[in-house]
Amino acid sequence: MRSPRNFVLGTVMAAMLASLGACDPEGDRELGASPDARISIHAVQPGAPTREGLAYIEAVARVHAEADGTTDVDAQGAALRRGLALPVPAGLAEAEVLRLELATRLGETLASRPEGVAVALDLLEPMLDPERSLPLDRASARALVTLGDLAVEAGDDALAVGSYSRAIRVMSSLRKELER
Amino acid sequence: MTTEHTGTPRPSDAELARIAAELRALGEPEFDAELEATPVASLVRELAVPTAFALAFGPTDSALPAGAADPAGAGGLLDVAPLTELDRARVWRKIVARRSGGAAQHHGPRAPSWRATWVAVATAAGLALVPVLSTPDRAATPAGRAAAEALGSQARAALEGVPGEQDGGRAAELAAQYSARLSSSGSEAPR
Repeated sequence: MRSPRNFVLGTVMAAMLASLGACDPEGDRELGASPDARISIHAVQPGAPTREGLAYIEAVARVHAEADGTTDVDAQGAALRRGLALPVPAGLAEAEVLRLELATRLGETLASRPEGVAVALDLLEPMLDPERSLPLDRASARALVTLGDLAVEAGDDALAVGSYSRAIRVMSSLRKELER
Repeated sequence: MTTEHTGTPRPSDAELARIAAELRALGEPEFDAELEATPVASLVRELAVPTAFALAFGPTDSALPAGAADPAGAGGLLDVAPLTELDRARVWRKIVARRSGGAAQHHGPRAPSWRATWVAVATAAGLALVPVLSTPDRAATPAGRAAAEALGSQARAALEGVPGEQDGGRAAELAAQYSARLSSSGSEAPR
């Protein structure tokens, strides 16, 4: 006799919880998502060069050479992941650009397979979050274009348009910087 | 109500019959079928179901009005043979088993666990629905996708025009520049 009552109670609770989820403010924001074209840029300020810094940059160059030397997507991905896992020496401003390049290339490599698009998005989206400042460099523009391409593949129009718009703004700032 | 046989009280049989009547009122077809084959059956028919019990669990076909005795049952009561030890054992075993199960189902310690189970299931179902309902609809519309692709073409074309290397070429270029700076700084010699 109590089971039906508890079933009704449970159903009501489930409906309430579901309603809470549907009314989630963040969910509402994303449901009506408009492209987020915010961009914050900072100039790369190289610090004093060190041997550790040079070793890191040379190690990244070797990782790219290793990825260039194979057509196997898995081997390329493994090499690029090792590059991203390299410990960054303190104060090496160039590392930000190098890591963006590594992540962008890894994203492009992952996206060569349909099932890798989501993984690539998970990799690049946090690195290129609109809340984060990006280095004023070609690497930022390229990474944003790649993120836009991934978003198109994933069917996320808002993220795609926002990323492309941000890339164009980075390139515009970069052009102004070069023309000085 | 007590039952008497030839003027001699039979409390154990009456108690058995009273419990059997309660179980009968609860609707225990298997038990009833088996009970019919026992001498207690006639005692059950004779007994009235207490009003409170009937109100609490609802009347059944075998539940008689409070305070009333089944005339047929009462009439047949005198013909009932005394319960044998085997009858008692069988009935008690069934009564205890059914009573403990029935009591647990309605009032016993299992009730909270059933309730907890329902609450847990409902909560799990609700929690499972939350991400489904709060997940943004990222499905591309044809117009949105066309706009994104058009903007993407412009962005890629603009990127082509930006000077500079990328990937290995960029890293090699940076390494050369960095090495030169390291050499010129004089503080540390490049390896």
